[in-house]
Amino acid sequence: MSVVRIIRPIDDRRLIEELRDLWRGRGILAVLIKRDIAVRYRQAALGILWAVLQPIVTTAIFTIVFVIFIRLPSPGVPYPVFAFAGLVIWQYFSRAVTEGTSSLVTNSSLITKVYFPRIVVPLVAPCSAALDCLLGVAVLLVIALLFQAQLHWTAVFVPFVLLFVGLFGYAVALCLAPLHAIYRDIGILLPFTLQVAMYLSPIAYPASIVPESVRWLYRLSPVAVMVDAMRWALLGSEPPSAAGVVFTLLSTVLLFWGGLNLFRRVEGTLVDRI
Amino acid sequence: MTWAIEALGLGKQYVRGAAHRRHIMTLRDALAEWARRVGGGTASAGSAVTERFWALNDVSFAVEPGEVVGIIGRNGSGKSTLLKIISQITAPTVGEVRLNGRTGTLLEVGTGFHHELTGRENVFLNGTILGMHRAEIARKFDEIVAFSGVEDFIDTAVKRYSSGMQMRLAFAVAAHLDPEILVVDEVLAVGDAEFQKKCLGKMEDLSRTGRTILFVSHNMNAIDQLCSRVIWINGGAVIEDSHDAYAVTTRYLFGEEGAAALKSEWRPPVDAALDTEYFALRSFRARDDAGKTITRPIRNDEQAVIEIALDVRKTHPGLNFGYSIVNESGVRVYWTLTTDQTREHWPKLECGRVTLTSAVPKRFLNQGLFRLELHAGIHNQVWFSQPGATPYAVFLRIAGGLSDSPYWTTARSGVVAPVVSWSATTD
Repeated sequence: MSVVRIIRPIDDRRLIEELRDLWRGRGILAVLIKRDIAVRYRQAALGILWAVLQPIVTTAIFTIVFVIFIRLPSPGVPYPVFAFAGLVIWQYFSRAVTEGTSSLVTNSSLITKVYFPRIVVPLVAPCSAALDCLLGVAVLLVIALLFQAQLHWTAVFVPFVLLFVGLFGYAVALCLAPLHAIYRDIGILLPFTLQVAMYLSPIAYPASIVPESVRWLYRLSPVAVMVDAMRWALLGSEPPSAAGVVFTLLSTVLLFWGGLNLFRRVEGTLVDRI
Repeated sequence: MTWAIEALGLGKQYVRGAAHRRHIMTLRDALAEWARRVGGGTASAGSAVTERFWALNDVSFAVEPGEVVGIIGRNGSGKSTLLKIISQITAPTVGEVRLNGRTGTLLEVGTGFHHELTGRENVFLNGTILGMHRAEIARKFDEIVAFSGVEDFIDTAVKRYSSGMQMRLAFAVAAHLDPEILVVDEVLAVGDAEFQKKCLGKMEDLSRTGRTILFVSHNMNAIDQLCSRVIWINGGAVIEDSHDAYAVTTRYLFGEEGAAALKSEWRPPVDAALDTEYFALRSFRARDDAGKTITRPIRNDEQAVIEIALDVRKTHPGLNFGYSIVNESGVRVYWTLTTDQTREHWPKLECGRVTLTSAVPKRFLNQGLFRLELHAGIHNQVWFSQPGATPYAVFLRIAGGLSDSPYWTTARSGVVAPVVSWSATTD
């Protein structure tokens, strides 16, 4: 016999074991991602089209409101391309966080019946949502061509930006998912918070229109940094500030570490409280 | 000695309190509790403060590789908690479990099925969740599908399946899990008799190939049939752990006194002998063909013989003996006397030691526990041992062998379970 498994009270588990679990659970992760994607588009008549329709419509509305009604000063690139680039990032992030946060609850029938490393559960949404996001990027390229926006060689960094957004979303979900499993208030609070966050972030408008006194906040905000990074990579606009990048990286590491710790502490008794 | 499963001082504490009674604790509750703790120390009202209890308390046992262990206990006794800890679904509060070998758990058939996906997709999904590798599932796929009998629908969404089909497919996946240690909760509670039989058969196969099985069931016949050892849990503690599965399940079903009374032989105690002017009862028992008193449950196709030993002192033409058989619900299944047939068939009751024997019909009694009451009397005059009011009784337990059909393996409905033959004539 080769496998010896020792089951102990949760306080005895170490952080490294969580990371090992993540690796051990990769097979299940793959299957759950596949399930997520298959189920999402199986019965929808327009199937995968929904994934791109949503940001296109939103971009159209943003364009009408901000360009025609409000006459926003030009952000340097054609506005629809600018807005769509921001929306692709934002929608990916918000789906990763929303679905990642509720993942423990939506999969509770699984979690209460069979053991597998729970740490993979909040990671499913960031991974399956990446497919929609990639489609969004493809559409973004088409829109950029349509509006004759200048694409930059730095576009090769786009996958890294997306990867980072996914990681950041996972880190946030890791913190929120165990809380949501125990306190359902999170589920009510989160959509509202995200909506506020979207309007506060430079997605539909450039940070340059924000008063100077609060602009430092826009330089530090991880969401703004990620959106700026996307626009910089694809469209060659101004890159995010160094301070913002450092702060974003630090907060990701911190969130990830905090999330892992929280997860480790709650994991063992999650089933009793879910 | 390497144990397959070793539990050491296992305990699980649950919190039972005002907030938890509602199951979902709100953030407000948590904040209020936190504020109370920070502000007022421990001054909060006693009733609102959480009450703790041990669902499992200091449970230790070790299972050898290849053992099939039945876990029994009433609802809420802690056996499901034990299984949940062993299958790593919830963590113990104290103690530890060591599992030596790949462990598969089946706490509910169909765990992880998704209704929108096809049978094929679900086999892979379910198999992976239960711990199989993709290549392994691919290799066993045809076998799994054949076992389930849903070949024609394997590419149809599972939501179009009947519940029976879902169950068969789910069990087929689980049955091919092939772990070294298998932890199974009450899976026999669902499904028809054929499914149950398949389930039990598969577990028997697994145990024959040296797999260690931990099996929770309320079906004591299945426990008797399958398990070489029984652990009885009550109030979160092991109260019995024995290799004599039948003895434990009998005590579980009938209590200590009931189990003691479950004898299949009556012999006269000094003060309560049945001693009359006409005869004295020497013994009354159920025995097998070889003459041995029956001390275990028998299949309904096994021969049981009722034996009444008497010292006849005085003959009387109306003197007769017999017994009646009463099931668990108190229904008298039948009654029989030595004078049932025509006069020339009556056994001769002459003075001296007489042993009356009568074979219990095979393939007739349903599954369950039966009380056999002695009848003794003189026709139209007197009862020496009256049906329904006699202390002279023995017990017989029937388990299995109900028919050769694949459909009936547990109790059949109806008071009796005769195997009746059928034929068809085509014009």
